[in-house]
Amino acid sequence: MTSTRTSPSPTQPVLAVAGVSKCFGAHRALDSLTFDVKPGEVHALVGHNGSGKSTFVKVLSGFHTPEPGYRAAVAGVPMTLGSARAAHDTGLRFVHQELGLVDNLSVADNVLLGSAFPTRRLGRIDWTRARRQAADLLDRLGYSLDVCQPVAGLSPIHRTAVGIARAMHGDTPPHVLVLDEPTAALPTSGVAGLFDVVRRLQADGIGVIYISHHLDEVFEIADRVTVLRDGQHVATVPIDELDTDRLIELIVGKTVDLGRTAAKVGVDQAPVLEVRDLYAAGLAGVDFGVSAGEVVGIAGIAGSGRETVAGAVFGSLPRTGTVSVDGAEIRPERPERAIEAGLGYIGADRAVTGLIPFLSIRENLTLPRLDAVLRGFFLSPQREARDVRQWLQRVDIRPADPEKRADQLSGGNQQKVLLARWLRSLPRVLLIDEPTQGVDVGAVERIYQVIRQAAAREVSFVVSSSNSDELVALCNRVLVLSRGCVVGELSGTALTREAIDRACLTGALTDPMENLR
Amino acid sequence: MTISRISPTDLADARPPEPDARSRNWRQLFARRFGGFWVLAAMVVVFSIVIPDIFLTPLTLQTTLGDSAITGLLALGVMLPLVAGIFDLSIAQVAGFAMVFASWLQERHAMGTVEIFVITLSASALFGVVSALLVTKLSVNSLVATLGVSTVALGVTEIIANGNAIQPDFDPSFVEFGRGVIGNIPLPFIYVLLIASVTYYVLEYTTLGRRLQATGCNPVAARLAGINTQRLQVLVLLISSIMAAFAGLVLATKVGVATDSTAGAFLFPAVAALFLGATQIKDGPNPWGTVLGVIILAVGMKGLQLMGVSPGVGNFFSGAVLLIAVAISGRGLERLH
Repeated sequence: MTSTRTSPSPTQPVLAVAGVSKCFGAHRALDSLTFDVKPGEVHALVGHNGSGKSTFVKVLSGFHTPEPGYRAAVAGVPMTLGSARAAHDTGLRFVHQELGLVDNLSVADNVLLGSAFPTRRLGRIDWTRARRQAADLLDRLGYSLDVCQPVAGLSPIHRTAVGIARAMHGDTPPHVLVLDEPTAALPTSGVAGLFDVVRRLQADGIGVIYISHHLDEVFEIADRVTVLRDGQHVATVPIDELDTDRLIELIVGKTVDLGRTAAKVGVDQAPVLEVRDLYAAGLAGVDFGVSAGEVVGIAGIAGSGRETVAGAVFGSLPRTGTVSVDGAEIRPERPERAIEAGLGYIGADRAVTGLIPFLSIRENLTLPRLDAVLRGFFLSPQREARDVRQWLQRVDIRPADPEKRADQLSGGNQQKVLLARWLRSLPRVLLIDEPTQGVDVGAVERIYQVIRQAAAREVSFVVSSSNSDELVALCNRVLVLSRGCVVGELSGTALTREAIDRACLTGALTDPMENLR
Repeated sequence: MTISRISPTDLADARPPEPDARSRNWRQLFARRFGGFWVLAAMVVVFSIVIPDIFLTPLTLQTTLGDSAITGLLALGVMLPLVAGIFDLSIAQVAGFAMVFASWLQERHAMGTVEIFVITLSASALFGVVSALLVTKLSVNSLVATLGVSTVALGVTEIIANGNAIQPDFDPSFVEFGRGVIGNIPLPFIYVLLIASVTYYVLEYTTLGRRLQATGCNPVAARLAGINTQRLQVLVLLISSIMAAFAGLVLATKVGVATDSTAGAFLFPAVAALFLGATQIKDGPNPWGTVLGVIILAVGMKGLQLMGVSPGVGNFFSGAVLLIAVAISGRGLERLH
């Protein structure tokens, strides 16, 4: 397994790990991974959400402590994983998708932030030296920026460069740079610039771990690819021995059977929810309709706009375009109007957008429709308790204690509370983003069951998910998004995990029949 | 992601920590949520032993409750916005404005009781309106907005008082409003109990109360659950300014002399009582906890005062109470962030 493009000296790898596992409860998020990066090599790490790649990055960066029994070495020196300090000092450096720049600080501040500023006597910062250090670092990456300007005004590629320069800065020399979805925030024009930076780092002998959903980038920049799936190591292959189809096959793997939602009859009746010309963060003109009792899925890689559809339709995010329920248009950014019109929304980030902390399951559950438990002007505790008990049973929350604080529940039970909250409000359409993200395995099936039962009673659903198996299991029809537009629609027998993944990764679905192979 | 067909038992909640949860709840009940009652009882016992002849008298009861009433009215006034996540610091100075303004209306314009009431309450409500506009329309942090409004209210008060102590000649029936007594219970303390009861019912048994609590705990999620959070914020700031004005009117009639510096001193004890109360009875700010906090503070100060400790001990005592409340109970106060 030698690198084929750059030809590094056959010295020891800059990073070598073996037998790295990470368990969350009974779930093995990463199973005995063996992985290495050679000096000057770009080693791409690909796989789906939940494949274990972000877990691996978090183990490397010291956020997670791996299970005992692993071996790890940086530049031949054995190291202990699980400490952010140790990772940095041994030379493992990270640039995360969000970069983490402080907008109103200068370029120099941002580059030096997190490690020691050069100082003069009495600990005063030596600004001249600090600025020169920052400028030198950027220079080596091929950028000459005014290091005194605030980063707020920088273009995306310059921001990325600042992020990388910061990662390369430190008291100890860097050996490995992990780039986690570095192009997610970059326009297409910025990608070439990023690759220039990566090549400069390669030339300096830095090993780069490149994580991306965009396979074209992987083919352009990587020397080797490691594919992960469900925490398992699938393959490590030199890029020259792969083509797109083969790589997709490795990523996709076999389909898991989670059951299917009953096919919908009479879907050609007037849609309950109609979305026209939807523009929002990451969305560039999306149209679709949902008929009564239909479950429509939204698929797409990170950054495709998948994450914003539900929120934009509901009005938790700003949008333009028309959204109507039963023919009546709903004003943007007015959740209370959307709810009156018959929409409900469960966001991916339950703790922020859904759950009311400190309040009980009962109070969380009845919140959007308190009128049903009023007796005259006052809330009736008896009515409320009866109502809530019924719902706890229906969505199967255990222990069924309505007075338990909702924020102390497991992810699965939290999601069940939110499902019950919205189904109780009798919506026409329930919009759910990542219905089972962070949900314990046991609860997943029950959540599917509840959604299917509601769909059978004519409640419609829009489900966005990064988990294709889930979309296959839940949806009658799946829309595939790429760069903010719908690029394909799958339903019936054409709706398979492979077809969704293929469409997401290739970005366009030219001929749906092709996916029936 | 591994999704496999597992039995539908919810694994995460099959965890064991349930068995002694009930007994733990009982212990918590005594240790923390009702700890204030023990502290109060202990203080009463100690003062009764040390100064039995002057502490255990109906007069002491009456003055203690009377002293605590203004603090109580203001504490309840801060509590309601706080439930909805808004810290209203302007309450004491708005009360001060109401006190001086009402006295001035009487002294200068010889207005009748009803007019004074209506005009003072409406004028004070304007401060609430300004705070509400700052908080909702301009998204100013409530602490900063109400601190600014508080200072403006003080300024207006100083202009009206013009450095003088105003001595109004209120109608006797109006004076009763602040000085009246039923049995040994001063009327103002009865207002505290009434307002606490109403607030309690609103918070626990009405749609409005539930929505206020949800807004205070997570405004984003509350809005997405269909609550018009901005409207609620306006409402609570209006109510708190009117409650402040009410406290100011009580103060004006109770004291009989109005100066621009009288009311400001009540802010800290009110906040201390509120925070102490937020650790009591239930987690987070709540009316009966607040009343308990007010009484603890009043009894402690009265006892120390009767023992002949320097009057300066008041601030020390309420400061210490606040710090102890915050220190012993991170959990009750986490809701206040």
